[in-house]
Amino acid sequence: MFEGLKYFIDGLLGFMTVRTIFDVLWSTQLGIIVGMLPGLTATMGVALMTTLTFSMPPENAILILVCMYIGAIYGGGRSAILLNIPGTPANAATAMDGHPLAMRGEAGQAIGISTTGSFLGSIIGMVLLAFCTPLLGNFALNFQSFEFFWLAIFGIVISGNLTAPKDPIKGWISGFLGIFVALIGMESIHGFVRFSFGNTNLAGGINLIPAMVGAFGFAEILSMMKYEQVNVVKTRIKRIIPRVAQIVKFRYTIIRSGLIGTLIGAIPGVGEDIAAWVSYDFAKRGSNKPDEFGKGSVEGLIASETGNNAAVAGAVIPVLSLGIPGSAPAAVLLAAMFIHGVRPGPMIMIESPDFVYKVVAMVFLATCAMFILGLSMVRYVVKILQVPRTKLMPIIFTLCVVGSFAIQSRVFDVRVMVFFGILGFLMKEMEYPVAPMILGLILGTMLDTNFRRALVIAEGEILPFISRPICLVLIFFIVITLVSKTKWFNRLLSGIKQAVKKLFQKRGNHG
Amino acid sequence: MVKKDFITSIVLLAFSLSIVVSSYTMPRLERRNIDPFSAPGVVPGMIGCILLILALILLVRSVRRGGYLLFSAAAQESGGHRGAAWRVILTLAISLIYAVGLLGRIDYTMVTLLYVFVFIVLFEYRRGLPLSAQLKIVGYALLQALIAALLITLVFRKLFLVDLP
Repeated sequence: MFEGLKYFIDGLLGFMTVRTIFDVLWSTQLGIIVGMLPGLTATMGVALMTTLTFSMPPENAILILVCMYIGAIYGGGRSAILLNIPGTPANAATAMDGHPLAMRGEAGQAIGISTTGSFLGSIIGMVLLAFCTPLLGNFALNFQSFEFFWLAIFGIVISGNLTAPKDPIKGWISGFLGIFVALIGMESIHGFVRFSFGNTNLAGGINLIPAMVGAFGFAEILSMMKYEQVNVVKTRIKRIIPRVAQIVKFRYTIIRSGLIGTLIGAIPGVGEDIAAWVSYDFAKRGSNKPDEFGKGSVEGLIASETGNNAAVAGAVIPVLSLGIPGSAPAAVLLAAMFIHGVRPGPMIMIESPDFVYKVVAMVFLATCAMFILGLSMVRYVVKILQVPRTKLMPIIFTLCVVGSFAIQSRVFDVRVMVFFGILGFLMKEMEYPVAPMILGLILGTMLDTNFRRALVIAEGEILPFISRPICLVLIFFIVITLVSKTKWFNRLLSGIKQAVKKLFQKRGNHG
Repeated sequence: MVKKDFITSIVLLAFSLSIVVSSYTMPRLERRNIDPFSAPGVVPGMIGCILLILALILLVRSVRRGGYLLFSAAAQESGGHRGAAWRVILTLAISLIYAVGLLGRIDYTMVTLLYVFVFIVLFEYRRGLPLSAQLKIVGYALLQALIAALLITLVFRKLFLVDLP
């Protein structure tokens, strides 16, 4: 533990140069602006920034990406409060209470509270990131091909389930489509080219960054252009710094939302939006004034903002320890790490443990910058929201084009971006979540290689797949996730609940 | 949504069937003496089968809810605003012309200037406005397109040393 603290302090001191502090400040501020602007999501911001930081030293580049990520998830709350349009999907729950507060003339207070909630959520997430990554990484050292295969399936199933709560089948279809896309091109065991139809570009496979820029950038542009411009709430932003008493009053909500946010963030492919909603839901259930939720509740606002920012650090836990992203922006972060020669995964605690704590230090710096920038220059920065989308969207699209082209200088990647943009838009229209598809795109190679390797090791036997202890645990969770939305399972669950209740009541009566 | 689900399930069914068939016909590389369990078609075939099952569930569910009655009054679903559809089609069309048609064939700065200008004018132009207001919209659009195209080119090429199409 003390070794970890030493690595963290060393990492932090290493970043204490004028150049690095400058990088932290501009990238976090840019992240806040990207998050604020509807149509520019955190995923797209991190993906575009990956292109820009391509030629930088790895640590500086990853620091900038972390700052952009944290800034964007926080910044989305601004437009949720002032426009009632979440800047990123992670801020949808923020709009529920943030916007009514702004309508009451308390926009400044709402921004201050969301900033403090985001700061505290991020700090809770950071502490858990520092503690849980080594634990999970060391545990994952026991994983073999069998476990990695089930882990990939588990990632798809749970991501599909949580991102499409109304209709999980659509989430699973999205995830398995993503796995199929990852199988296009040359496979890693025999070098055989699959599904390329003689196209040399397709033989090289589908690059993650253009696919993500399309699915989260171009698709978002098409969605935004569907609607007419919405006006910013005309309110004077008065006091922004929140009252300490108000924060102390909701300390339990903050801690609970921070823990929930980190946990949800750490689940593969689920992300900050679900974290915010679950935190919000728990806060409402535990509140003394649940009726105020949705009408400008400070507690609701604090819960959603703490939850979504805690999920950022949470999403980085599986990135570092398993090489699996917890959210869509974390998927880009993972891809960026690979681009810069860092290989996250179970071996990271053996090969470069200092890097894990450097990432913790990066999260800390980004969180501090977000807090300072979030409470200053608010009145000037929110003016950006007044830029009409007809002027903004063409520029965003040109950035999408540059972002997808620049990594490999291939026009083919621009076409991939456009294709995934149209696909992402259609999926949204048909109520298919996009995040599982992106997770599938990342997990596809892992699933393919490990499944076939495991089959060869087991000489075609299925028994090792279902008899190893960790496999059994993963299969149990997969089955539970698959049946959790079925009517008979819910009936069974409520039956068990009733039986337990009766048992306790009987005991109580006897007592 | 039921009607949309019915259509997508049929598309998915056809797609997953094609994956299964092409995985089955994929070479098993016997000549190279490789283990048949590591053949390239194993995992695509499995994924194709999973997608096939999920598409079938979606199809059965939508049929049960009457999604196959594509043209009946009961199955008519609100298609949203006509204006919204036009805005999306217009955005898609000019973006496709820019990214797939022109990019790489004409100078990047020039084509970006053209794209931004056309985009703004198409969405901000109002026929009923007086001529001076119309000219103002076109003028501002040209100015913004010029600044955006030059700035993007300069920042990416000179500052971040990034290749542009």
